Parts: sequence; C-alpha cells; structure tokens
Amino acid sequence: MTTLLLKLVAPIQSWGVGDWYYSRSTRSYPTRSGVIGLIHAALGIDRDDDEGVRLTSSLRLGVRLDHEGKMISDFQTITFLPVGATGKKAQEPITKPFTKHYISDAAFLVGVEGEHDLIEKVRAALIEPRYTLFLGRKSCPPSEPVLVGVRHLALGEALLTEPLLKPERHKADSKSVLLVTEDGVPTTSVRDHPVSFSKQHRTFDHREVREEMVVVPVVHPESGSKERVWHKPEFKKNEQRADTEDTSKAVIVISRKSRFAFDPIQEARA
Amino acid sequence: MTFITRVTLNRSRSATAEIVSNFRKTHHLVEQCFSHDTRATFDDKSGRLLWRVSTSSYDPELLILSPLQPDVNHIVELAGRANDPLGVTTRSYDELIDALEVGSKRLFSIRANSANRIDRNTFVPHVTSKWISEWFREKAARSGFLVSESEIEVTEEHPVTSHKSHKLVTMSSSFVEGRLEVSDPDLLAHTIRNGFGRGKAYGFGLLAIAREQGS
Repeated sequence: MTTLLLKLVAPIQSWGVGDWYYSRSTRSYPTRSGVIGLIHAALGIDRDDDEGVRLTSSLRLGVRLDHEGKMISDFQTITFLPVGATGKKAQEPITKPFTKHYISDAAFLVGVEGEHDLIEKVRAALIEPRYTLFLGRKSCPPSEPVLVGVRHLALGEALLTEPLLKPERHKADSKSVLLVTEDGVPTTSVRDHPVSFSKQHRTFDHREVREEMVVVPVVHPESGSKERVWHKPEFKKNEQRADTEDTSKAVIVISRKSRFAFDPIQEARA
Repeated sequence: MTFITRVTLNRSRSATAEIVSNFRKTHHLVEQCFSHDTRATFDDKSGRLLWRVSTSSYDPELLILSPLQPDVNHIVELAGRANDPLGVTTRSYDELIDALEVGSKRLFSIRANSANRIDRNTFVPHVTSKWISEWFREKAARSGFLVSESEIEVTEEHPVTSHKSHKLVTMSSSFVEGRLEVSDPDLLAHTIRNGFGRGKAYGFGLLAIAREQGS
C-alpha cells in the first residue's frame, strides 16, 4: 500500500462540521471532508461530481496533530440586503453578527493511503492543482506547499515514522502528539465522511476513527544557515532551503548570503 | 563616462522604507538626479540610467549607474544623513569596464526581473532558482559573457509590487550572483552600460562586476 503525506500548515485554518449560519465553528483537526475536498480541488473534481466522490472514498486517512495551534475566534458583522422568499431584494439592509472560528499556527501531517495509481494521480495533482487549494475554508490558504511526499509504507507506519513537521518549534528529540486515524481499533465516530459535496444534496456520513497519543521523532537540521524566508517572519533561525531540484518544495527566498558576495563599488576608481 | 554611485540610506527615516518598498517612487527619485534635457541625451552609446536597492546591510543602499555624475542631494535630504562623508560615494566605472578582455573572470551581481515572453504583451515571471539560473545563463551568452552552472547563485527571489492608479503591478525580483567569464568585451560593456533584462527603469538590470579579491 502506498501512503501520500501532506502537510497542512497555515496561519489560520478552519475545518467545519456542518454549521454555516451565524457561527462557523471548527474542529481541532482537519476533517475527512475537508481533506478529500482539497484533493478534489487538486484533481479538478467539481462539487456536483458525485462519481468523483466515489473515486476518493476508497482512500484511508490519518491525521497527526504535530502542532495543535490555538483556537481563535473572529467576530464580524455583515450588512446586506436580504433576498425575500419571492427572490426579490429587500429595500432596507440588515446587519447580522458572525463568529468565525479558526485554528491558528497549527501544523498537521495528513497521511492518505490508497492504491498506487490513485495516489500517484493525487501526488501529481498537488504539484499542479487544477483549482486553488485551501485548508477548510477559502480564506485559509496554505502557507507552504501541501505535498510532503509518497511513502511505500502502510498508513500507520508512515505516520509514526515521519519526523515532526516544523522541527524548529520543538527543542526535544521526540514529541508526543495526537494521532487520529482510520487505522486500528476505533475509539470514536465523527460525521465528516463526504457522500456528496453538491449544493442541493450535501451529505456526510459517520466514520469511525481511533484517537491516540503517539511519540514521533524530531529531526533538527544543522544550524548555521543564514537564510531569511518570506512567509515565516517569526523565526530568527532559518531551516528551509530553496531546493532547486524539487519544485514541490519551492519557497520564496528573501535573502541568503552568497559565496560570490562583493561590494559593488569596491573596484571602481574614485 | 560611466559612473557608479552608492547612496547609503538612513534606516530610521520614513522615506527610506518607501524607497525600499515602492519601486515606482524610487524610479522618480532616481530620474530626478538629472534634468529632463540631460536624460534625453542618454543613448545606448553613452549608456542609460540604472539603479538598484540593496537591503543586505543594516542601512539600505541605493546604487545608481549613470552616464554622468548624478546629483543625489534630494535623495540624501529625504532619506540619507546630512554631512555624512561616506554616505554618498561616486566613482568612475569606465576603467573597470574597459579592462575587460576575452577570458577575463569577474564576480557579478544583479537584481534581475526574470521572465519569459509568451506573446506580444504577456510575460510570465520565473519562480524557483532553477528557472531563473537557466534564463540568466542563456541570456548572458547573448550578452557577451558566460556563466557556468556551478558558479551562479540566486540569493533572493520574491515579488515586488507597486500601485498605479488602483492597479497593483507585480514584478518578480531575483538577486543573482556568481562568477562570469567574458566572451565578448564590447558586447558586455554595452550590456553593463545599458542594463540586462526587463524592468531597467524599476530597479532591475544593473549588472555590477568586480575582480575577485586576491587576484
């Protein structure tokens, strides 16, 4: 069995289970419907394509909460002209309050296990996604490329052996994190298995998951690189290098000291 | 004559932040170093006005390459330091350019806007150092110098933006450094004086060269 590993890292992400009225809540880890939705976006499967949902229903998912982040809520009001039952726009605008909930600064490692051909298709689609990728809600774009890589391991093994994401955030050599997986003996059930994403008959089913704490290795890269990276302003030490061969790891580099550096006016005559 | 001028900007002035981040503003400031009539006399024999901003040291630096000595007083008043003896340095670049011979090796650095022309008005920027190096080396060969694959580094690569009447203009900016070998000294001299790549008015294209220390 082949397992595809994805990383879901962003300043804010929101994985909702159901309510879309005046309080948009989020669960503390990615939903199956959200992750499948992300895969569909990469593959180019439309919302109304129920056949497409059947295609991905054979995938098995596991989520590792490498950095659980913090729950934040955003209070907003929206002023709009309500549309009446007849379809007519009202004359007077009304204002409704909204509370949107997000998980901030989280990093999740997601394992997707499936048949080799399908996994290969998903991997290629994540490098060149057909539709824009987002983490739960359109307002939550990923801050790093989603694809980590393919492992020729079973789901459980892949999620236990893969080193911690963002190791610079954890000083020790190992970390105890929550694993929520479809592998093993289930401990609870959640209602986030997508049957249809269509607007008319949006349906989700229950799926059983196992929640357990696991210990994962943390690999710290060698220190000393003096690179500043665009989307991680809070870090003073820098870890990710712009890897020129692997475009799936492309990051925007702000500056790095070069071995060819020189003062541009040093040679010019006064 | 070709001159290179370095203006050291004062980090604590608010105008410095504007110069560093808004390329359109800096374009206007640099153009104002010469009068309109003088600028009209610049041709590709004398060279054109080129500039770039560098934030690699604590104080940002504005580097200007021009066919005549520029008057940068207005820039110093806005974003520099008064009476700073090393704040503005102007030197002649001609000796450096004229000393180039076939086979000479020099270090180079340039802030380039690397892009490919798709059709008459469409350019797509390059992302990732792989494509930028490829574009640069290929264009270099047509501009009088050769750069080998192992002697080029892309140390910065990010978009720069500016607003032009409610529209956002984005250009991809890459800082390319490395070692070059001269293949055509006259063509390279022309390239240095006239700029390399697109966006020459907006802080791109200034190819700076120097001999390696200790040679």
